[in-house]
Amino acid sequence: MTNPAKTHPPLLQRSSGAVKLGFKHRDARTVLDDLYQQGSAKVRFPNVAPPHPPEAVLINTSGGLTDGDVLEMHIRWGARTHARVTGQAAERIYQARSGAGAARITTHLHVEEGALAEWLPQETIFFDGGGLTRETTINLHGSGRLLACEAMVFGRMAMGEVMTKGQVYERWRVHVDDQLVWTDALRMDPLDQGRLDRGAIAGGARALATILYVGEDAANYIDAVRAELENVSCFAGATCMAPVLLIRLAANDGAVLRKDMITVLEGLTRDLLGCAPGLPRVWHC
Amino acid sequence: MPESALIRLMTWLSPSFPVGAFSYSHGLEYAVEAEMVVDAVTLESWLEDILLHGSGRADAILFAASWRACKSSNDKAWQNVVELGHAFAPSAELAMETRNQGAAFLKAVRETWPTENLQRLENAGHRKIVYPIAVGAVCAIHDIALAKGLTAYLHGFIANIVSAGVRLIPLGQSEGLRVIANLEARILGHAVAMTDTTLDDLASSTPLADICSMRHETQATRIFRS
Repeated sequence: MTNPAKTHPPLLQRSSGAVKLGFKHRDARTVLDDLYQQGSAKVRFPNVAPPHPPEAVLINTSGGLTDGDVLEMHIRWGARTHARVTGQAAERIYQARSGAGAARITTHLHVEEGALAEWLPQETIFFDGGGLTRETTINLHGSGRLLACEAMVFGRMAMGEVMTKGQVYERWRVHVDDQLVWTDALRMDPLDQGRLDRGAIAGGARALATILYVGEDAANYIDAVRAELENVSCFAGATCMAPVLLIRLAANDGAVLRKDMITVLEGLTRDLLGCAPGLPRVWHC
Repeated sequence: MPESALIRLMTWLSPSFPVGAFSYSHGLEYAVEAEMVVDAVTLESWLEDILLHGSGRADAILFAASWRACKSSNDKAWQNVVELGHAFAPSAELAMETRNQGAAFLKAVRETWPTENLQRLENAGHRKIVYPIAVGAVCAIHDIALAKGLTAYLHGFIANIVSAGVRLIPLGQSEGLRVIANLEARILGHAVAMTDTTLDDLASSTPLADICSMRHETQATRIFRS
């Protein structure tokens, strides 16, 4: 992929990281159109061979976020492009310094006519006391399609950490041709294991994930997704509100969640692409 | 409130008002099947989550925003509530439940208590008006105070799921009534607290209940539509 980085004005005055990334279609291939990176946010482009689509890997060099930190991402898939964007590692949300604040991650995904966008970041791990506000806004045009996921793990499981305080607000907004077609918001404040143990909330689960596919053909995949969900060990469900196909997973630990997400995402990408490229390599590290 | 307010509120939120409430379990049918809700204690706990953190919160926020927009005759704000309410859908069945009840509620009110205000609002948009937004608007038009209308709405919402629980678990009638009695204070307090919210507060945070609703779509034996 070529890398003609262009200059842009800063997106935010007070920012720990910002990325602006765009893809375009040229000579029957998807190539980089636009790249701006600021602060702790970096992007690298691993070499991938077909059937893998071009890939961009986001890296937060600060290692994690805490209250007041802001990460802002604008990603654009130009007409007829197909590319994957993922994260180098799990995002970490450290204990808030002030005890009450939240880090903020704002993501804008812009998908143009005929494009297939894959937004596959790795999970976000909350340290005890961590707070996060994450807003993901999707703008799809015409026959553009998008596969996206977000996962949250509450507490560092390897250390036996249990959340005693923290907060989370996660919001999705999906627009197709400038019409709001689906939105969802989850808020837990306080975010602690007592809340997660509640029966209708997380039933003791400590890791939650959302997988979203948006496209005119969303209804075509629901049966295959449901069949795939029969093979996972976490508690999961899928529903189709065309053009949105929504999958939710709740697991008792982060490793199980990741394994089950890989199962579902590999199945979906296989069905979407008609071949089985597997997930970006960083997902298997 | 005018003399007519209480009696209309009782009519509109009575279980016999023709919105088909009895046919929806709000995902409870799957939760019972999966043995997540097995008795009066687990039903009460489940409903407390739904009321305070799940649809009981999202619906209350939409209700309050709809009531306020109608009260101030702000059609643009109301259209925004309608658009957001239509798009805010944790699952296909929960969307169907609230859209169908909204449409049925408006139809019944339109035919029996017609007002120009309601007609103007209904004609303005192209999105389906979900149930809490429909009731919020009608309460505002008929001068029913926000906290009163919201209390009646939330009570009706919870009482309807209790009825579903009584059939599904099953529970005795008095056990079901005790669940409602135990939740009285929470319903009252929640309704008052939700009057101060704005659309920025809109959230529903019961992912497990949402997954139950999704799984209900393919549940082999079912008597409820949601």
